Amino acid sequence: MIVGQPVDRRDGRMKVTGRARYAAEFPLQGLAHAVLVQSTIAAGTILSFDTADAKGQPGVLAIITPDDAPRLQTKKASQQMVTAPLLQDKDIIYNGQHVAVVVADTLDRALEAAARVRVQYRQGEAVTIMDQALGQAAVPKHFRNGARPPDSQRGDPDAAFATAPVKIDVTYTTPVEHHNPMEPHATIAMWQGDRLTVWTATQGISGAQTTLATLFGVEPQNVRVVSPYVGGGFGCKGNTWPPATLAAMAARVVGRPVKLVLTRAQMYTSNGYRPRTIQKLKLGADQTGKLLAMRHDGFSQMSQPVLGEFVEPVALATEMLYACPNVAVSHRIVPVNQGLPTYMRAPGEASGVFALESAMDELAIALKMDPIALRLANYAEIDPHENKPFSSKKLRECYAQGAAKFEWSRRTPGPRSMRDGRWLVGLGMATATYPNNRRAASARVRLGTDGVAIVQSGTQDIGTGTYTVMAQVAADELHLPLSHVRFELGDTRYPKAPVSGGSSTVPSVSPAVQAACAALRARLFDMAIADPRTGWSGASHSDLRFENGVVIGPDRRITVPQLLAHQNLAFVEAEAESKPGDEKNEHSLHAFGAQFAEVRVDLETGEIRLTRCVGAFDAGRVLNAKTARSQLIGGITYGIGMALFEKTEVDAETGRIVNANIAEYLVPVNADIPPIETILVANDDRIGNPVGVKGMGELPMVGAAAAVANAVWHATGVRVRDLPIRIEDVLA
Amino acid sequence: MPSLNYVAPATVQEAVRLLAGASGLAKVLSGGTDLLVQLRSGRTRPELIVDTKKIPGIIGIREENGGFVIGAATPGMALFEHPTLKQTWPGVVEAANLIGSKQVQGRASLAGNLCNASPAADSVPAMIAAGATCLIAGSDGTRQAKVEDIVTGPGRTSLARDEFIVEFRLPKREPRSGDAYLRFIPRTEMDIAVVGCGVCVTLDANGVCTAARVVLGAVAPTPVLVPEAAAALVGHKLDDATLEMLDAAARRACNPIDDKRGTIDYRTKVAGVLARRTAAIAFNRASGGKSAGGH
Ligand SMILES: Cc1cc2nc3c(=O)[nH]c(=O)nc-3n(C[C@H](O)[C@H](O)[C@H](O)COP(=O)(O)OP(=O)(O)OC[C@H]3O[C@@H](n4cnc5c(N)ncnc54)[C@H](O)[C@@H]3O)c2cc1C
Repeated sequence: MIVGQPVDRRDGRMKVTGRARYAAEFPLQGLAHAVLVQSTIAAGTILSFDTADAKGQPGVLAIITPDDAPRLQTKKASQQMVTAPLLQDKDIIYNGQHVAVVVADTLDRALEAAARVRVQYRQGEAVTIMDQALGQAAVPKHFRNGARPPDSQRGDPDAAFATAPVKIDVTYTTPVEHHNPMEPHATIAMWQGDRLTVWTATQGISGAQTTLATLFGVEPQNVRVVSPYVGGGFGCKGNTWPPATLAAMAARVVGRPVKLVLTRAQMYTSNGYRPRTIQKLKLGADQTGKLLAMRHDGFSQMSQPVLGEFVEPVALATEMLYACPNVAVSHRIVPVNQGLPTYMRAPGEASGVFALESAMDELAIALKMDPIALRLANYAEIDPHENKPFSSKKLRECYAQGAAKFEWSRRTPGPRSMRDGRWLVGLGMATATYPNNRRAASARVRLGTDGVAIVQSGTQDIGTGTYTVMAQVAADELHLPLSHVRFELGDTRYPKAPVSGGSSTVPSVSPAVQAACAALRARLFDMAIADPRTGWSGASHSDLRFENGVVIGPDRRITVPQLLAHQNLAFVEAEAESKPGDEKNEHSLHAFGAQFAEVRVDLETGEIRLTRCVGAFDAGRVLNAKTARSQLIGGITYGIGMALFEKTEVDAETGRIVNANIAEYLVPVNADIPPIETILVANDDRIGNPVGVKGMGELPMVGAAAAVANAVWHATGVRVRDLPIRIEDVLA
Repeated sequence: MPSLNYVAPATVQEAVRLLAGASGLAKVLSGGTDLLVQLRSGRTRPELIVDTKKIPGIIGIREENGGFVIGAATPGMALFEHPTLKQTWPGVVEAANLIGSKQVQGRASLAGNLCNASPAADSVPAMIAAGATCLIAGSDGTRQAKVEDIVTGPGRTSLARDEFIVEFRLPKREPRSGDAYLRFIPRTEMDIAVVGCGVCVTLDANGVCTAARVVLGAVAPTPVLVPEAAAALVGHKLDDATLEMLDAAARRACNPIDDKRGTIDYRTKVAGVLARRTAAIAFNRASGGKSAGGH
């Protein structure tokens, strides 16, 4: 079995030697360069452009403004489609919004000309900070794409809360955060007549194809999207954001291929962010710790509705995580003059479970109960919201194995009760959960006379290991050595696969790969049975085996080249689609985990240092021990950033982001990250999908911030309810 | 855009002549780890860049009369690798080595750190504590100045437009003396000091402090030499009462800004704590201990 082995990333060598070609790196003849001109006000209208100076600069090919931009068909065709701002009108919604595109023959010339475009505005009234607009909180119109209402209730939580003997009633806030992948978003667009090819950094090539086809009014099959390598996405490359569309628009206008690469600063204005949230939590319990009531009311920052809608669904985990009879949740959005927010690693769960699991810690303290014991006292044996059994749930094992490795038992319950010299030591834990998502996906496999299987699917590898694990799945299914399998992705010419979001790539695509390989084997068996030279007519598939490129029957064997030669074929090919059935109607599908963090806080300076993290996860079957561990430590690291560092700062008056760079927007550096130990609890969930996997890209981020915050409380006695935790917070 | 000229003169005189002759803004270039970033962001728009690195001796370290002469553009890594500098002035070297990352260390210089004139520059409090001086070249020849007299405000120095720093001098170290530098940053690495503190002390045979210099960074518009803090040490051993007085004097010297990186209260409190800790390392070194410094 190759599946499960810690196989090295197949793209690793290409990447570290610089041979992996990213979106901005495709060499094209006559490539022109586009630069965005951005609004310097947060609300209002463009009165006029003065482009004379800019147009006179050397090398300038076009300056596209709302006055002359080609009209696009902005009727929304898919969730991934962002229809504004695309230079179709003169309204300013936020500071940093693109108002013009300058195209020149070199990047420097485009930059120079862009700096000379003058824009006259009529300034409008801007609300830039969510907290000032809470009165305008609105009910989302398209929550979860309309799949469910934004609110839910079971039992009577208000009445139960009123009479509960032990209560927690608190508000948590999380800040605006930006994804900051290593690779800034980039697009090269080229038109040949009505056919468009784009090389773009995206988490969803087929979404980009549909979006661009719709906007430009061409057939989807006339749009080819290529994205073989993506330098991280974390959600900000999930939608097809305006820069990709504007690159294609610019290419159409100048009649040459055009490249548009966002600067690091533009990564803060042009492809979404995690919105700020304000979360009100009420928990009521009896003296034994049994939850009687839960209420989780979430408010998240939104842009103006013309840009679309995004809700950070903070309270979904609250509905299903604990066996509580009376639960209500709600989601509201607060429109401000900022760009459109979007998915960021574990959208809703990362922010919402921070609040929920911090509140559970507060409840444990109020009850003088061990935090794990409190969670076990409310363990949900079935999904209490959907009232369905879980396809599998090994959360108990996560708590137990994580606690054992972390040596949770050494924790003394009181705050400031553990010390090491001048350091206060704190231990904290939290629960993690994330839905096990799956969407329809297709794959095709071709086996030629060289014995190499080429497997293709229009999926993405956003740095997570898709290339590697899909090859492993195919190798096992075809009984071929890994060296004889090549997996190709990132091209809309390959069979369709979903966006790499919601941790769904492996649960969606690996079943398709497996099915395509099974179909190929069946085809080979058909060919072998039909081949008069085998003498197997009348045999059935179960009489045959396929191993190392040879079809083996009861009495003899035949190689693939022989089979192909007999039929005058160069290769044999099969394609398959795999999609969810009714498993979701019967079961609740979730991954789980338990997070543990140890922090040290300097008594005198309040300096907070993490010294150890342990995460134990139920992520179903593990396809590759190495890439899985990388996801887990990466997710926990992202959670540490959320807990201690990350925050986008907005100037209230201008609505401008003031720390739009990675010197001032702090992400953790290596030295901030302690040893992280990960445990994958044994599981194989064939109800969720035929490969038995659960997505694990987002799961390990969930709960990490709460574990840190809970550890900080344990070290210092200070409860921090507003992220990121700052030294000032604990320096009482 | 006004065009930008780059020159790399081979002598001090030529460099001075170019600086003096520039009609617009002229900038001296050492490692470029500040200047190039500022050029790129548009924060500075010079007409002329005078790269000093071709001038013989501007990169390099030599021992002279028991002290050290350090070329203005010598990168941090060269300070680190020098065989005796770090034993003699560990505080200065550790401070310089805190700047940025390995890559930045390959370029970043003391002159650049000083003349960029950031209140948070790491090597500056350590150099001032050590009593470092610099040799400045200009149209009228050369002059010596104390490092503490160079920075006059954020981004501003006392150098005339035709002047630049050629080298730094670290004095011969007194017997039973020791220096140290500590900074405080929210992140564990790659961050700008919220507070920095440099201390240099000399002790007598009984461990009583006979001379001290205490310098704070990032708590005022310029690095500040705090004589009151030094006075708290002189005549005393390193005991709790002395540290308490040092702490209070350091806090009194603070005039920090309130920003997203640190509130006034917080910077002030940490300045006191950092002064104690830095002093403890300096005392330990002065009395022959090998106490590790660094962050
Ligand atoms: C990623 C990164 C991290 C950093 N981290 C830190 C840090 O932790 N701590 C810290 O203090 N700094 C830090 N810095 C800032 C910078 O690296 C230091 O200030 C460095 O010492 C500057 O030296 P340089 O030789 O590169 O200066 P340059 O960029 O060459 O010059 C800086 C300024 O000094 C002037 N100048 C240069 N040489 C002379 C001279 N001989 N005479 C007169 N004026 C001169 C220049 O005109 C310019 O104004 C960091 C920078 C980066 C990019």
